[in-house]
This record gives sequence, structure tokens and C-alpha cells, in this order.
Amino acid sequence: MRKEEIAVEAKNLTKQYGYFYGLRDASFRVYSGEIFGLFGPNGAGKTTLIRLIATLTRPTKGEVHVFGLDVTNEAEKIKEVIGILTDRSLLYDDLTGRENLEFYLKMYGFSGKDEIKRKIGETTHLLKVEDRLDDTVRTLSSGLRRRFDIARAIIHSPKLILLDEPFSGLDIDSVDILKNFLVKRKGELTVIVSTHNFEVAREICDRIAFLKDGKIAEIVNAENYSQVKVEKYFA
Amino acid sequence: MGAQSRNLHIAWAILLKDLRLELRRKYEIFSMFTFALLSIISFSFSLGPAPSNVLDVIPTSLWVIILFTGIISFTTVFIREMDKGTMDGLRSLPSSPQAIFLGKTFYCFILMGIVEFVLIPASMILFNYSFNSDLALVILTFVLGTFNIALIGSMVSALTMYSESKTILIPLLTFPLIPGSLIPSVTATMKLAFGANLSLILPELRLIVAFLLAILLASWLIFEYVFYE
Repeated sequence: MRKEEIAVEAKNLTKQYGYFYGLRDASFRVYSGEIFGLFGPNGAGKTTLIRLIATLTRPTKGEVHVFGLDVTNEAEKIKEVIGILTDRSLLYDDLTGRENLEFYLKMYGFSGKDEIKRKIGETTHLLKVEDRLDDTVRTLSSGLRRRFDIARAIIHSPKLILLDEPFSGLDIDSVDILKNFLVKRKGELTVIVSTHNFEVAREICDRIAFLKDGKIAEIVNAENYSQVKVEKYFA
Repeated sequence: MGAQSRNLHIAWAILLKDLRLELRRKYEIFSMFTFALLSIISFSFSLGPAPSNVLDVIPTSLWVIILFTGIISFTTVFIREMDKGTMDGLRSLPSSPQAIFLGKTFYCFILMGIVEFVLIPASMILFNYSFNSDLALVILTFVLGTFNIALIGSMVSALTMYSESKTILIPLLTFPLIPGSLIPSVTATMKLAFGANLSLILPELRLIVAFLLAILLASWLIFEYVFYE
């Protein structure tokens, strides 16, 4: 892990929806090459935090920088280097997996036919979905669909991947494929992953931020995971 | 790739994706064709096969049908992305919101154009009339007028995509904006039916273009805020 480069830095990051705080005064750093976990119950602020980093929504207060770029003013540049997997599928049901991936690659500025073909081939091979490329997304099982969603998130070779509950709805094989992918690329890719499954989080994450009621309660290093009392976050 | 060509590349990719989706489902295009053809047939029943004032009545009827046909595509152009959750996919891309808006506008324009391609000849057969002008002028008038309506419709569709009562809001918000484009389009079409040349319809064309530019500028400025909630 290259600790010297900061991939994401948030300072007093706050997101308000009316009177409700989705996230309050979150300050943290994620280093390049790190797998950083966000752990907490539903409504803790994990998705809001991921959406803020992904520039899908703008902060009410505070700031967040991704590779030194400001999410409010330099969103377009940030989007070039990040890939996001949201809780909802971002694939078009009536297109095939290949058509979906081609569309997203074109939107990222890829235009060469051979390059597009190679990218699709490599990514789908990695996620073991290459033999289902020409099936309409609508006809895929939820696990396969999720794998195609992951392929969409990483197909443009982003430097930072934001995964919001990537393991939910996945069968055991798909969980293993995704875990292997993340572990293999450790140090190479920066990953922020949200989950409410602590066992999975402790297996893959270098550090985990524990969130509750929109606040970061603590950030724990891998060596101290065993000392964390997870139950208190669900009380 | 320069910024302008990149924007066009993105708009083109959006257009192709939406057309491909439409060809798979055929919901909108089928509804639009059905509505347009039933409307023109209803007009022919109401007015008779050869009404004395056919050249006054038909241009108005045609543009009203085109407008209502367009509304069918406006109700889905952004809303479908919102409902399916794919809007976040578009938001996550490193592309200017305006390029996405342009792609969506082209999509509405193409759907309306396909319907017009059948509607206009059908009206000429049913009412036994023809445009006594240069065909290029007729096409230019319909292209400009239709693009204007598509632009207004796409903007209204974007403005209403977060609302729960979008099916009511789209027609309500579209109508105050439409006369600026619809009235000169109807007048120009009427003049063309009577055999007008370019100099005679130039004032209407200028009005259509001026209104088009105004709406384009407004949507360019508004859409970014709408796109990011």
C-alpha cells in the first residue's frame, strides 16, 4: 500500500436532506491502494457518503477531494477516474450485457472497436460472465446481473472503485469472485466498500470506518478488528 | 477529442442507446403511431374527404397531432431513466449534462420524425391535397418545428422527472412554451400548402429559429441543476 498518496480526503463533510442529516461532519482519509470499508446499519450514512465521493450528490457543508480534485468544482474530472456500484442496478434491462458495457465504454470516451472488444473480453472474463454477454440483462439471475454491474463499474479501469453493498444479493460463487478480484488488485486499486456484513468487511478491508446515525464513530485498522464490538452499532 | 466533438459523441451514444431500447420494446413508437393515425383518421371523418378549406385546416391539425404525439415521448424520455434507476449511471459518467440532454432531445426528435414520415403522407391521401411548394422548404419547416417541440418537451421532461405527478405536469408546463414555436410552424406550413416560396415563409422561419435558440440556451443553463437534483 502506498500510504503517501491520499486518494480521498473528507473534511467536516455534511449532507442534509431537509431537516434530516444523511451525514454529519465526516472527516477521514483514504490512501491510494487501500481497501477502505464503511460499516454500519441501514441509514447510518454509508450510501450518502459514497454518493458524495462519486459526485452524484453535492455536500451541504464541508469538502471532499478525490485525488486532489474537489467534488463540487471538478466533478467531471473525478468521474473519469472512479467507478461506482450502487445499490440499484445501473444496467438497461432490454439491452444485452455486451450492449450495456459498450454503451458505458463509449460514454467514457472509448471509441476504437478493438479496444472496446478487448476491454469487454478482459473484464467479463475476470468476473466469469463472458459466456452470458449476449443475453438480455432482463433474463439474467440477480447474481449474474450484479456481476455485470460490477463489470460496468470497473470496465474503464478506474483508479478508485466505490462499491455500495456489493455483496448483497450475490450467491456464494459471486461473492468469492468479487472478493478474489478485490484481494488480487489490492495495492493497485483504491476501493471504498460499504457493507453491513462485518465478516466480509474484516476479510478484505485494510481499515473500516464504523458509521452510526450519519456520523463516523471510529476508524479501525485491520489488526484491531477483533476488539470492535459490532453489536453496539445495531443497538 | 475536443470538447464539442466529445459532447456530440456522447449525444450520439445516448441517441443510439435509446433508439435500440425503443426498437426492443416498441412501446412509445407504437403508441405514437396509433395516436397519430387515429387522430388524422378522426379528422378525416369529422371534416369529410375534401373540405373546402382543407389548406387552412390541415396544417393546424397536423401540428396539433405532432405536438400531442410528441408528448407521448416526453413522458418517458428522462422519467424512464429515473424509474429504472439508470439515471445514476448517467450521472456517474464524465460527460457534460448538456450532451446527455442533447442526446435525449435528438431521440424525441427522431421518434416524432418517424411518425411524421407516415402521418404527413397519410393526411395528403386522406384529404387529397399536396404542398405546392419546394419539397426542401416543406422538410425544413417540419424539421425546425419538430426540433423545437422536441427541445421544449425534453426540457419539461427533465424538469418534471422528480415529481410524482409528472403525467399532469408535462402537458401543463409544455403548453405555455409551445405557442412560440407552434404558431409560426402552422403559419409557415399553411403558406407552403398554398405554394409560398422561401421569401414568404422567411419571417416564420426566423421566429422558429429565434425561439429554438432561446429554448436551447434556457435548457443549457437549467439542465445541469436539474440533472444533479
